[in-house]
Amino acid sequence: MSILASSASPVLLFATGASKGLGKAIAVSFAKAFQKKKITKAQAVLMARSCMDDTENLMVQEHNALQICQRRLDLADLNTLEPKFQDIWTQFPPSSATHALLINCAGTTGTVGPTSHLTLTEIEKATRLNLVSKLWVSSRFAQTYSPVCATTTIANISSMCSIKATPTMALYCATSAGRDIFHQVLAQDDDNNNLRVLNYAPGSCDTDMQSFLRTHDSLDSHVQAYCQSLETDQKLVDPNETADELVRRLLDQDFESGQRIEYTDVSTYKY
Amino acid sequence: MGMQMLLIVTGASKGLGKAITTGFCCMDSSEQQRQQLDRLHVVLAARSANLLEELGRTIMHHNESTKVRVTLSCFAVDLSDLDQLDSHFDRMFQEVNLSGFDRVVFVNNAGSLGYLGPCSSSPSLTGMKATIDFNVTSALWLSSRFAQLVQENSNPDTQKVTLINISSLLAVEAFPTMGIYAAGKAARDNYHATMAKEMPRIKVLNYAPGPLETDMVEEIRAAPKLDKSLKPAFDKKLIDPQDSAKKLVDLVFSDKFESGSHVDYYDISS
Repeated sequence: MSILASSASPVLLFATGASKGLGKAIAVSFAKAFQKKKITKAQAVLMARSCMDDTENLMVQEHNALQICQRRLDLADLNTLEPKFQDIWTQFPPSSATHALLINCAGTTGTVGPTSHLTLTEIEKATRLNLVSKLWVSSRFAQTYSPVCATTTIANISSMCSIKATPTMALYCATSAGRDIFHQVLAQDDDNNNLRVLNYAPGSCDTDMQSFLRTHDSLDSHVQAYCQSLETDQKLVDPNETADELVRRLLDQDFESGQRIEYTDVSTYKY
Repeated sequence: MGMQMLLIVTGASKGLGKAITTGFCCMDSSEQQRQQLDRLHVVLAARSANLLEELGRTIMHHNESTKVRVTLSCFAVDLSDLDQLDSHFDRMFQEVNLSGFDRVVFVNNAGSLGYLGPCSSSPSLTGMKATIDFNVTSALWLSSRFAQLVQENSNPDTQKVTLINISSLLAVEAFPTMGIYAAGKAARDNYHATMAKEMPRIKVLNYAPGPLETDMVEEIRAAPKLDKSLKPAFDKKLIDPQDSAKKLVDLVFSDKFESGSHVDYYDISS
């Protein structure tokens, strides 16, 4: 069922990592799409560690009747994760929406450097945020919303690194791969057939993450040369464009549940 | 002088870990001669001191009548305890001089199933963290520390170093109700594949041993929320772990695999 089929059905959107970069672009793309399709009853819950005023302002410019709520939280802090999400789900219960969507975007590259130099603290930090926290959020979201809402959709923001072993980015590669397959299983587990899951690799986006990699001391030299060439050859992906594509697919439900979609053609990447 | 070999196995006390250990340590004389095995030092880690001791006796008894000099160090440790992990690793390796061996084989095997059931009803956050910490955080750290040890102490010209990550079909193919196990295995595979690209001096293998008759599969069979479609696959006689271990041992000695690759028991022709 396309989420756009009935513009009067309430839509509830949860977006993590919403303060900047791709997360911000996705939130804004939703606002644009809701406005274009005249979806009048939409609530957006934006989540990030830092202030999301920028995101909220851009969204309001696109759609002035959206209800937008900011929730500052650190997904890496497992001590506060459960109570914070319980609060959010109580305030925005499944009964309040026909369609519920989660964009699980927040994440970390993890420490960049050779596996032989990584510390236990660095490994634990990456697995805590990129695996434990994100898998828990997806599971609980599915558990809370899919029994009630007509459609429940999860987008796991993936990466080329989940399918391509990339020297000095082992933590990102490992955790991305783990997340991808978990979400494939999540799609298979669904008994109700109203939970749909998409693994979306957005391409190498022109965001802080890419500029971080371009200038990083410990990134493998070939990988770095590749990242730098993306900038010089103007091949970086505009986060707004890839966000628009993701949003279109989600609202049209234009994907197979459990599918992995790469915005750009991965086979051309060589380093 | 023949081949001096160092073997390290985690989760060695039962199941596949035990089978791999005996696969390397209790080879028949003709196989030992073929490999020109002269000396074998074995470092084993598992939680049960009793089971490790028993395994140690089996190994020493077998080699009483062979020409191989075998020495053994067993460590009853809980590798899921992140706070103790470094000191466990230090103890395991403090007396081992890597440069004294022609062949070094590290088998990163210890692991658990985690919750079996629909991802959307996964239990507590604490449970998820414990499963990920044991199967991913701890396992990746052990491999990284081993890699560092190799980098500092091994001679790439004269030594063959092999690191085996015990993988699973679940690392590359999704099956319902096995989400957290699949996530852990997929993460481990990709980490080890990346390590292989970084360190040509270590031959890294992601070995998926096939569905085995072990305690782990009993756990799967007894899981109340295992997807019904999977039951037929497990409700039958499965592979003897010793068979799978034999294939792995042969593969390691033959070196016939690409470093960083995922190899499944069923990929290997008999």
